[in-house]
Amino acid sequence: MNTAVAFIAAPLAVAFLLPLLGSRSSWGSRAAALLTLLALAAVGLLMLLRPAFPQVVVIGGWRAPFGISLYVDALSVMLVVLFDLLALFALWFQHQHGQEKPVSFDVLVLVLSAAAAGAVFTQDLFNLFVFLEITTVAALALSAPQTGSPRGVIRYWLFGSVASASMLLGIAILYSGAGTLNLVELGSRWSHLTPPVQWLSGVMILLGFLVKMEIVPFHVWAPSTYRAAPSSVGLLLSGVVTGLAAFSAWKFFALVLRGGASLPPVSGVFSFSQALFGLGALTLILGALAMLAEKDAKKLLAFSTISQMGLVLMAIALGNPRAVRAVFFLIFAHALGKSLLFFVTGLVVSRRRNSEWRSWHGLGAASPSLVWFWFLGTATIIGLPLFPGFWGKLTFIGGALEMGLWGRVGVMLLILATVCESVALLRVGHALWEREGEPSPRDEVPSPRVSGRLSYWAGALALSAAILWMGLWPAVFSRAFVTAQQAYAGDGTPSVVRTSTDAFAQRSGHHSRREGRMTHRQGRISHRDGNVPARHANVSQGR
Amino acid sequence: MNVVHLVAISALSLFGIGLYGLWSGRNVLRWILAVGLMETGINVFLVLTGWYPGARVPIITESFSTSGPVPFLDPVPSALVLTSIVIGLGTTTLALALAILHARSHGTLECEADPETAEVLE
Repeated sequence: MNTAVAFIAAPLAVAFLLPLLGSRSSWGSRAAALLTLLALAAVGLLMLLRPAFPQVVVIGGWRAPFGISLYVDALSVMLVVLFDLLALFALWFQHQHGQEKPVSFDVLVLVLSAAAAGAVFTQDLFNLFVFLEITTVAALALSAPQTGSPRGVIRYWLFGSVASASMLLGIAILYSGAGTLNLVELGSRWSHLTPPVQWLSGVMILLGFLVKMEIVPFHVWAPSTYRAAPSSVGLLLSGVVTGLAAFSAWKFFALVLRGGASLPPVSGVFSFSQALFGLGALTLILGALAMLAEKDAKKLLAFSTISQMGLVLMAIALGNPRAVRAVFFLIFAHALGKSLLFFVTGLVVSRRRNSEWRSWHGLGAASPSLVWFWFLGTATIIGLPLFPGFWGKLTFIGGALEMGLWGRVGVMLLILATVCESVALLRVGHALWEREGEPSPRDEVPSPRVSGRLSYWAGALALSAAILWMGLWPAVFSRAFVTAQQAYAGDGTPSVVRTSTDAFAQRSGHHSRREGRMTHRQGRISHRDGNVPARHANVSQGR
Repeated sequence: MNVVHLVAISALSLFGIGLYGLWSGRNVLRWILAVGLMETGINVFLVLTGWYPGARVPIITESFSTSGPVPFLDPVPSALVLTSIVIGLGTTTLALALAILHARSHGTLECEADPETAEVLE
């Protein structure tokens, strides 16, 4: 047993024990949930301080590529710590400022954090699918409104279901051709598959990721879901669920599709990666333009997430070392900055009962720190120098400029989108800052003070400290990102996973790489000849 | 036309019928049923990927060692289908709960697009 497993097992165990304490969120259940997440984040930070990476954890004693293996390196632990801290922050925020406090909120946030950790660590395609499904189910249940119309959430369910159906069918097709579910092993068997299998499975699985990443035209569920959900859930959807989908999409793209290189061109004109790049660029620019037209603050933040994920998809599609590092930087920067923005939005909405940002004037005068936190979040997202988003966008530009005309067009679009995004976010900050503005019908309470409580400062300053740390001292992150990028790029596989696979292949006489083509069906035929294929041999060993 | 083709065609037809069901109506219950059909289609397809004519059930028995080199069925897809069915149960239950919420707040199961949310890019 390894500590990495605790990130999955501990929150799940606590989540299932919490309902025993009663259906209302009590002091005990809240403390248990918060302490679990805090302890896990602390364990993760300790692991990062005394690094012994990379580790491969084999679940149930079944060696890769037969069992499920978890790949634990500095990057994955950092991501898990980030997700746990965001979950902690959202949970704490909901306890302090949320209207309703059922115990299900605590339970679902814990389940979400467990599934996020699993999806980050796993090296098995089906396991990844299962964990992503659990995050989607938890996010759906979290964003379902207690009162009012659930139409936005039903749309989310609909898109999520079709996405996961498409992904599952893709996995089934891929398995029927390759006979394995291990991501690394799939990557090395990919070139032996027939083109129809490659195309169908590649496109269908990526389609599932794109829906969860809110890429245009599959983003339609996002704005209405964000609007109906409480701000703490918006924070989780944007920082954890979407960021996780982006990381998983990158993992699939890098390990199995080898950066899109192993897929033949769509037509003579453009390649698969370029198609994805174009989709990302479209999302980037349309999301930023929609932000300018949006009156509702939560939907505005949703479009900002959509736009940022477009940029991440562009970086994934570029696939060169710098672009890969940009993917990691952007996921972190986006999660941190957007959490701060949702924090401010949540506080304002809890006072004004109105998420239309034009009616927010006056609050900033009563508590100026709110405006400062909004600007800090904005600076992080748009990438002002010395803020986290800056390093992400700078690395992205470096990667894009290596790729010729496509890259240059991408950089131009990025600059245009950043301008739109800045204007949209700064306008909201300005409205918050203004003393007088359009009179709001619900503005009967004259600008109550929001700040001043210990809990407010504790949360906001912790998040700001994380942002400033990543912005001013990116070397710590950068080092982990470079290590991870190199590990994954070496033959498209994390080297430790590859070694364990090879070692097993030699021991059991598995001959996939030396004798070339080893498809599933041939494996069975060779079995009949008395040459026991490794997969089946392992079944009998296991029993 | 052998058994494999027949099962594959029926699995993909189930998936297609489900897609058509999503496409052709706006009733929440209809959507839930349609998604259920799609999932069933995929599950049948998954079972098919592990099937092989003349292969044995992958259970190790006493006679296994003496029975000679007879191929096993692939047990992995069965495990996957089991997981997939459980996930399907979970999401269907959740969707039914959402349908109840919808019926309570709108008095109907017809999920029309909200005029206020039909804006830019939606």
